[in-house]
Amino acid sequence: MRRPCPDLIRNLVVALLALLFVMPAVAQDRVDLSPRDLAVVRINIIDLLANEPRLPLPIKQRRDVLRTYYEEQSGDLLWLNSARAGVMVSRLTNATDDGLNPDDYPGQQLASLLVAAGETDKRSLAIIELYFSAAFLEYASDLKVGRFLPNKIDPNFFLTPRTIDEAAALAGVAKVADVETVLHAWEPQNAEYQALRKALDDYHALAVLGGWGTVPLGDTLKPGMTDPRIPALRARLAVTDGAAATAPGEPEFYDEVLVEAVKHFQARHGLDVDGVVGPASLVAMNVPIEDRIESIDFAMERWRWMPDDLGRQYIIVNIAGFELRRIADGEIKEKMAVVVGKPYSRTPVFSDAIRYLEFNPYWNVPAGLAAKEELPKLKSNPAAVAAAGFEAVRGKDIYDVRQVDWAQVTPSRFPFQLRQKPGTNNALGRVKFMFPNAHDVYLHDTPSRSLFGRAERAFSHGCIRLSRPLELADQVLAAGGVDGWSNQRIDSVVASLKNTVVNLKTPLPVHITYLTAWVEADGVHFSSDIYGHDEKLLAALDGKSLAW
Amino acid sequence: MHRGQLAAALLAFLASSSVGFAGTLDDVRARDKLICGVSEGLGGFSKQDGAGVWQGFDVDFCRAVAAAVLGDAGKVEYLPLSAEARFAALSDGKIDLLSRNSTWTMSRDLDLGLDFPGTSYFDGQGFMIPAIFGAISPLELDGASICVVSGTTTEANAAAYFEKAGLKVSFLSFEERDAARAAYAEARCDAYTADRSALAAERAALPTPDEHVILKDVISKEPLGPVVRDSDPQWTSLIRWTLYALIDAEEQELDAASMAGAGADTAKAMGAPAVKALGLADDWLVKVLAGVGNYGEVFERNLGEETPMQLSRGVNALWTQGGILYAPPMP
Repeated sequence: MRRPCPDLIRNLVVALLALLFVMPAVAQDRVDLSPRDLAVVRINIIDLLANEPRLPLPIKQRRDVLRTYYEEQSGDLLWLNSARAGVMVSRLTNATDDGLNPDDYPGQQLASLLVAAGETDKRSLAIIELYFSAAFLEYASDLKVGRFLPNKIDPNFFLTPRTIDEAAALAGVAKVADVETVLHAWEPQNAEYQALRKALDDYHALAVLGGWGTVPLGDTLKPGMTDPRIPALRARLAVTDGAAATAPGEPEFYDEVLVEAVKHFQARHGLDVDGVVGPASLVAMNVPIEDRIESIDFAMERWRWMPDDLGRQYIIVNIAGFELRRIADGEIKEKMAVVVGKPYSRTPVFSDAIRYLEFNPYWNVPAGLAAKEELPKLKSNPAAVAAAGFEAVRGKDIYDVRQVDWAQVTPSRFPFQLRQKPGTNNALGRVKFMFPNAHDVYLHDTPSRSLFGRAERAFSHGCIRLSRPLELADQVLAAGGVDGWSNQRIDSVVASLKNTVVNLKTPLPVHITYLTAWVEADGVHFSSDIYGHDEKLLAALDGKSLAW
Repeated sequence: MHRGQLAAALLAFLASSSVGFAGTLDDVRARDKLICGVSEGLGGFSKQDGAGVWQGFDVDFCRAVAAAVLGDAGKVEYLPLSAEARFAALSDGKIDLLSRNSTWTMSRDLDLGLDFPGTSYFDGQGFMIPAIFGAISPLELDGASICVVSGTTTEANAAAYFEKAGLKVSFLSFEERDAARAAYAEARCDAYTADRSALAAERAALPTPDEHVILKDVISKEPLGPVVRDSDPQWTSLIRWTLYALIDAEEQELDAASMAGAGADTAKAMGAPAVKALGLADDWLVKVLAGVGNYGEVFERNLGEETPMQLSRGVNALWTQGGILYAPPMP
């Protein structure tokens, strides 16, 4: 076959681009060719991929996979002579339905190419077919694994970057006539993502209707009060939380029905569920619908970063929602409140697997913490430190902290590992769940129970504290295939204060996530962006990198 | 060293250093004209229109200085300069002021005997690609060939960026912007890299601007601003405070139209210190604002969304509006 002159192809691409501009925007959703023309286009496609050094970038970047596909496949083309092209264009121009931005995809340009196709030569048709294949692969990849490598956005995300099998993607298009069905298969299939996508539709529809109005700021509104702002409150909650649009009685009276709507709203936004509309509730109510839609977009993007297979049963922690769930066979088996890292000691986002539990754990005080916080106490009042259960370890020797001459010890010369013995004061409580990882993050009990009463729970140094650790221990041992651990046995081991390690037969996957939007039976839940990760994702979409 | 020797040495130094010019202000007054170095034609910044009249953001800054010194924004003679020739033209005294999309860097500031009185436009290097590529970040440009103009730091910046990202790209260098743009328009390269403001101008000059997008990512800092010789602190101050006055005026909501009314008194009060110290007329700032408008007006007229440049204020918005334009207070 004649090797095409580079100038020829260049001129052709330029001509195509020029065509884009001059062609009238007549709706055209397919290009029909005679079998003979089709054969010529096929030959051109293969020639371009095999011999043309200068192809448009999206095609060039996928040259090998495209070449393999078009050389091996002998039947129809994927886009020319098919209704798929029109569907692909409309999917790209409606990318908002997938929580993506249509401006990031060449929907308009591909539509113009379809219009131009009727007027152009076979070699240009070959380029058009390849442009569609490249755009499809790009979109399938964005749907499946996200637009961004997680760690490029945020060093706190330790998820493995993934890619899609492009050959399989192309083969999939050929097998199924309906490209919507094909693309659906490239979306994350888990229920959480699909529920968010559905919720996104609802929110877009709400936004078209104008979203919701604001409730004027002012004094706290309490049930039973009469206030001129009550009608605005009722109107606001009628949109999302089942308040009656018009009051059954006195319009400015804060009645029981409205109290229920307020509680419904508060539950969806991680607020104290008390029916009292204070500043936090007002601020949450007045967040515009566009921002809520953005949160859903972000959550969908983060789901795309997650592993494809979460496991048949697994633990999932949502840092932003301060909650842990245990899932088995697609059902939520357990939900409990957790305490996560402070904004300056953020719990990292990653996936791992719980390998063992340790009852009555020692707490090995991290060196920095020992030197900074414990050393002054050891110098001034070692007896109090001993009473709190601490001991000093050097090599194989264990020392009573009252017997060490702490005057000789400095933060830079601290030759001990300080640890806290099992007991009621132990910082890790009665049990810890280990999934050994580079971040030294694990799940554990805590003696500081009062923190679970707070609505926002970011207080730890990075580890995840559990509100009902022994119940989770029972479940995790069963899920991990360890027999013979009844509640009574757990209780007696805990009561013994003896350090006891139990290995799981089957490691249990654990996914630490950061999602500021998720769907439950009562609607979409939103949380605040405690670590500012949403802000970084937004900046990345905007082409900025934020300092962190 | 004897006193006589010292004086001789000093005189010799003065003669050999790039001319005295201590009195640029006096020279401009005596000439009744400001000589301003501009580009050879960069849309939005400095370019002659069909009638041969210089237009643009950098041109308006020349006009503002002429209004401040001579009371008339029209008293400017423009000297178009290439990237290579611009700094020498200033050192050699061929121009009073360089207002030509020049990046303020440490080496230029210290090595060339020049002063950068302030930043008039915070720019950064970016990329333009055909919209049909559907890329949203330069990180998606693996394997691309990229058109670039040589003789600036642009290619080195981009090469460093892609190397750090672990991507392989190739560059197609051109000495002239017209040639680089033509190559890009003919699809001889996949992308075009330059400062984003320059990309906006290049995009507007393409046959089908709407089919090309400028990626949002910025890979370098390019603070552009006026440049003067460092031998004349008085002149440097005048340039600096003309720039700051444009910005402060926007912050104070003083625009060209308001100079016909009460705004003139406010402008006089704002500009008062320069009357005594620099010998400017007491209505110098009134003349500046009446002549070119405040910073926002200059920006919108030359670069804004309604111009072919279609640039948004972005970081060049006032600090009170989410940008980084922050001028010290006046008076």
